[in-house]
Amino acid sequence: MSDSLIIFLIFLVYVGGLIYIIFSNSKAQTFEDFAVAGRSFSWPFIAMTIIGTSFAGSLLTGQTQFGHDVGMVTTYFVASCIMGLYLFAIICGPLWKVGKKYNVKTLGEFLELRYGSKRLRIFVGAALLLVEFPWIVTELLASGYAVQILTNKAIPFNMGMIIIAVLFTIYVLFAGMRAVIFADYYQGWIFILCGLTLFMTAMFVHFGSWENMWIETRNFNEELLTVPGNWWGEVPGPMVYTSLILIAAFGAYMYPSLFSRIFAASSPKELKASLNVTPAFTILFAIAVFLVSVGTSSLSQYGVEDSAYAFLEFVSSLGPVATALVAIIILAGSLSMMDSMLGSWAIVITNDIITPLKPEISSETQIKIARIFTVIVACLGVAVAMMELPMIIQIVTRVYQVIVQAFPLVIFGLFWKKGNLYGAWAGLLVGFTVCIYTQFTLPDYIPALGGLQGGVVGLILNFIVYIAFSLVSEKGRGSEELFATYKERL
Amino acid sequence: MDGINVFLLVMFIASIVIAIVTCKKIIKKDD
Repeated sequence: MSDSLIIFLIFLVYVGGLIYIIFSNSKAQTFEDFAVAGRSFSWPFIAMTIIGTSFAGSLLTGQTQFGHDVGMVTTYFVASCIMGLYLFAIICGPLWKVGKKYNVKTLGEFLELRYGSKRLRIFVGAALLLVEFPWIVTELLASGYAVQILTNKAIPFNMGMIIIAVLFTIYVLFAGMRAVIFADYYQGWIFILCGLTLFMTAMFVHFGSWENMWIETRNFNEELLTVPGNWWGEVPGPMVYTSLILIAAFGAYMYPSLFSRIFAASSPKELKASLNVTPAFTILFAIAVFLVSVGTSSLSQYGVEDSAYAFLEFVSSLGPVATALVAIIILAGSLSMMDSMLGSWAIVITNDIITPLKPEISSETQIKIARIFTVIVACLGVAVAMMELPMIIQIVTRVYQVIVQAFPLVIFGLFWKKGNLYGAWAGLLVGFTVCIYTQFTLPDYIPALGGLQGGVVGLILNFIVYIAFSLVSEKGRGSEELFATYKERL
Repeated sequence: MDGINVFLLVMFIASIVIAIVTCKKIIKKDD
């Protein structure tokens, strides 16, 4: 049996399983179903959908490229995931209760409820969508790499991206959140069981042992084992590692796609139960992917044309099954991420921008509008992905710096009764302004501040300004009834 | 196909089967 046939058959089996698990669920009937899956999922699904959305396909391209080129600094992702999960544990219970009682489906809706401002809802809804958009691009890029690996570069990169974008869009159009979560569950298992086995096998085949991998890496270039390492000819300063961790940890659950996951659970207990497994998988993944990606730098035959391929070539050198699996794992990760994002684009535009302006529209119309925007965003994503862009890891870290500015509004909104509308607007605008300024001047880090990123500076000022302005007035402080919701049994 | 690829194939099939079977079990239990 030829290698191409083996790869094709494995891919067919993967797609077959995915179609089966998606179509064995009913189509979304109402917008509530489409947006938050009827708030009905138990912890295994929530855990897998968080893993699927957090561990994107671009991890195996952009993040491994970071490890291959720069070294141990790529492990910031692990620390930020663990810290992010801890923050998730703090906010998920109160948010879920508010969501259930007041029918909140999005971050924008929560902010309007808490601060009493439709304008804030629309502004934040639109801003966060724009900020999340680059992730659609990074996942399309990762999918392009996957198609290249699957077809041995027979299909051109851009054509591969277009094919995947079309397939993903068709799926998201009819899926709604319910099918997205089932698909994430399916892909989560492939990601974890299959992926971990594959990557560890590749490591042992190439190096023989962990010890040998580190010895060869050190002999190749010691700097790879230091933090922050050498960033393509620059040394950013010691604070950049801390900065990367903080930005990703505080920002992760501000993405509309992950934020909305909170409302898909059937209870706060299920949300917290999902945290029994997600940290463990994060650590296992860190070992299997990030640490091994640092080791691949010592193997000069991989990543010659483009270091984003290094980890993929390293794994697929094991044979046709390994080639098929690594491509499938990237596509699984990309689909898990993209279905969440395309879905949340559609939902947020409909729920946070159009509905506040036209409250009388029906559930059917909401779903129709959501679908139209899914197609528009997917097309825009492909168009942008075909342009000359920075590296995937640069796109990711820059986006995080902006999205994290929503965090003070949420955390203060939930737990500080004096937090008010003026504080929310002032903090957000200051944070965004600092961020956007540094995005155009010093987008990756600020040398004068020891490598600290603009997003962290923006976040610190955001917190300070929020507190200062909140003490000035009582407008938009949130009702006692809202804060009493956290103690209710729902 | 060598032993490594056969092993990886078995893990792949196992992960799909586990995903589908456990998914159905959990849905049944939740309903």
